Amino acid sequence: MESALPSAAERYLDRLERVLWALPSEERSAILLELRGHFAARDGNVEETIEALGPPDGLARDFLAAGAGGGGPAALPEAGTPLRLSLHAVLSQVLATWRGSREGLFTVGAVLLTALVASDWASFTLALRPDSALPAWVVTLGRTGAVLLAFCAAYRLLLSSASRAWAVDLSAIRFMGGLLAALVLTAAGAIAVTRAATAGLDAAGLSGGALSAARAAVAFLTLAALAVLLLRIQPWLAALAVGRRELSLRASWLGTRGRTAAMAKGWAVLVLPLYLLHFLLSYAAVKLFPLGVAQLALAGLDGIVSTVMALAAVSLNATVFRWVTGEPTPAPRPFGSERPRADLIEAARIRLGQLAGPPERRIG
Amino acid sequence: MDIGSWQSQLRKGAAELVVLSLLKKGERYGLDILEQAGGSGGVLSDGTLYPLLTRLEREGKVEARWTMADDAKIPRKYYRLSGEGEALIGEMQRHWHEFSAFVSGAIEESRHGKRTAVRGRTIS
Repeated sequence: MESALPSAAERYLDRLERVLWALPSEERSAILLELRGHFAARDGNVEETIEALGPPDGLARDFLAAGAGGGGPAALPEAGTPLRLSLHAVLSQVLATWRGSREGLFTVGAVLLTALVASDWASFTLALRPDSALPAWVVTLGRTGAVLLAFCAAYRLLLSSASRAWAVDLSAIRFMGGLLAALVLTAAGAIAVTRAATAGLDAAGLSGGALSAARAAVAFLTLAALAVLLLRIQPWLAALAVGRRELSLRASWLGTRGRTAAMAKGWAVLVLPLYLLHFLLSYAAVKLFPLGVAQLALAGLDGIVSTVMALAAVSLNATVFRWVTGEPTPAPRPFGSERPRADLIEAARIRLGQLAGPPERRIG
Repeated sequence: MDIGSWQSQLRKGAAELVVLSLLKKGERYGLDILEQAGGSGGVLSDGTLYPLLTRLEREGKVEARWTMADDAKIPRKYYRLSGEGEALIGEMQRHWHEFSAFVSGAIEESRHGKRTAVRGRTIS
């Protein structure tokens, strides 16, 4: 038999099932069956019911915290507590986050790759032929817009059951505005600190190698401090993308306390090497080769590198989001594509039929 | 102070008492509990109820059974108080009455500036 619910309810239960993957199957099935009945009894008010239940990832966290599966409240790390993870553990968690939505991320990757290759090629050409008819701001605008949209879609695919990953709605606008503001403020802060420090160094009478070394040290420390600041607001930005407004900027800051080292390990391995490679490829395209087919080849290479880097960064940020909210990581996608509910309900019916006794007989 | 966080803590503490009190009247399923609780001042919501029932069942305070009505397509899970839950709810209600009287008294005192009943009282 099939008991069809509206598609939004089915998507909600599908996501919940995937996020509860760590539970024993009987217990997970019982939770899903009870909620299926809840949706059916609410009769038509699917959106209201989903809103009242809250995000499936959050509901899964509450079930686990309630002791479902025997885990008990201690099974989840409390937000804000120090998280000492080995590099292997960080990478494993990022991989698990990525595997939870990998099909969707291929689409994001394709969009990013196309946008980045095209904008790279245009940028390289513009750098070598400044009199080109194509204004630089058009390239920058196109690249920025595509990247912001792709990041927003990636967060939605990784962190929610949103079927409208690419929708440019209020949440998407908030996310894009928040990310742009964070980047602009960070860059402005970096420039201001570096200028002030340089003026101070000049006034101190340093010169030659000592001045250069001091400037480099100031620049490095400034960048490191701002990088930590940017890392710690990433959960808030991810929350903006998926419409989880309860995770405020302050909550993001407090929730990442004691976890910066784990985040930095992930960035150092997953993002930083790719960023350096991207820098080298861009340098080679405009400094080492004359304008020609080399720029196209390097734009292709750089597009691949930058796309992988972007997906790695988003997956890492989504993992950190889960550290802050305490929400579990969903099962790999193939698990969620199974549709066992009809069998489950039929099995329950058969079992109840076998019992056929007074209502006090317990089967759950 | 974050009033939302404080309210959330209050609700968490009260939700268990509300659910157990409703189950004291007889067995109920999830949506039935929500409807009986009415608005419940935000104490109970769809999203807080089911994890709470899971915890109460796990702690042995409630028992559950599945039934399938003849015309239903999906089985329904009913909850009722266990023996332990029966014993617990009486204690909880007694403590709650003492607690709420104490808090109300303190609030009244602060409003009217009276130095009366609450001074020296303790909650057992």
